[in-house]
Amino acid sequence: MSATTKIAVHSLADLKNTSDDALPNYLTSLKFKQNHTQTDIRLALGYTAVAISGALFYIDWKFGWEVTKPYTAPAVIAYFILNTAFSYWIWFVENGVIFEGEGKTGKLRIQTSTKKHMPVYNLTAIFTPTYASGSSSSSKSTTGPQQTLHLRAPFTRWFTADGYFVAKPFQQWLASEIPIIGAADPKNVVEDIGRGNQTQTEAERVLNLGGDSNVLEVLEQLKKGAAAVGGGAGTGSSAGKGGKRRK
Amino acid sequence: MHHSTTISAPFHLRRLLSEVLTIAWVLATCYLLWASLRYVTDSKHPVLVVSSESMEPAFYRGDVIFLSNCQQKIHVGDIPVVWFQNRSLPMVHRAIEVHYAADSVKADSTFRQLVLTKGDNNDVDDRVLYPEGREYAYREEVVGLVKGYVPYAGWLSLIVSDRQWILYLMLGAVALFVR
Repeated sequence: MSATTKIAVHSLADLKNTSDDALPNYLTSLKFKQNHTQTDIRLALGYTAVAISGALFYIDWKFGWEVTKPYTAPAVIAYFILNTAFSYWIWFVENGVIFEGEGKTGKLRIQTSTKKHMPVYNLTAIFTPTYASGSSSSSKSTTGPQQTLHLRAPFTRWFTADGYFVAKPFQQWLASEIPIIGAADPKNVVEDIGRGNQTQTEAERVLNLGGDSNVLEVLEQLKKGAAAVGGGAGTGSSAGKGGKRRK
Repeated sequence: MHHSTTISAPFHLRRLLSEVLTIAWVLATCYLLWASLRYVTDSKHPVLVVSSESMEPAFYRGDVIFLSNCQQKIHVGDIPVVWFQNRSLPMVHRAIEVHYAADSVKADSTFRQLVLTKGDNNDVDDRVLYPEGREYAYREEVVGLVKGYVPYAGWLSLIVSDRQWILYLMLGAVALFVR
């Protein structure tokens, strides 16, 4: 799915649609069960309207206009009502929702949008976290209050310059910004999207270390040694505090 | 409904249905608009293209005319579109005589209307064009009265109706450019 098809980097619709397609795939891979009710209602409304029009067309084609005439007015009225409901559903109820579902870490609803000529992915996440409480043997869980998050990110974060979608930074962005996704996928919660997939300690970040270095161990040894020397020279308690704070 | 657990791209039924719906919805709306127009004008052919010069200078070849069949009584000076049975094309000419046949009462107790038409640009009336033995056209054979027109708008349709292959050529070109 990622980096298999090239898209037009300048087409905002392509950027949005590719991201919109990747998001539910990612979430269902994290075992969020997608709720298709909204989509199903939209499809039902749309196809009923189409069916009415199709039936009228069929009568016209088979039996001619004179026979069709009396059915036309009711058909048009019914179609108009369904169409209004259909448009209302898309514009106000769905309103850009590309995912709605529930997982072990909570309920989630995601709406996305883009503004014309701005290559920025606007995402609104409405979620209700589920906290597993108690010991592992009990299955009790409490739900937190519903929260809404408005996020924005430029598409350049997960698309290469020549138009390939890269899943990793996209997933990292989602996991890092939306808590219940991060809870379901802790490996992708990172400070810096696109860099390593380990969370680093403050010291590692400052010293710009990779994962394998033993510089930290050496640093700890030196600190212990200095504290011992300092503790030997002065009195116990103040030296203990001072050892940590020095520098 | 069925969540695929394989890594390869799963078959999204809903996606497919959504995409088909957008196309089907456009077609459905177009047809219903057309059906509504027919219903409102009470005419099977609410829009036609003028294909002869017989009504110049009122209408020229290629003009699009809009018909309405709601007016039951035809008056002299109206422009009825007469389409006899078994003819492939209708006639768009002006009504120069209107009579009521006293000897034929219709089911709704009105007299049958008889209309004689003549093209503005023709020298003789249309009697020669009527079916064998007919002196007048009946109101039932009128598919509508011309209520309005748009000049030149029907030229493409005239060209295509003479040479069908142009239509297929255009459709092919559109198909090429869309994908």
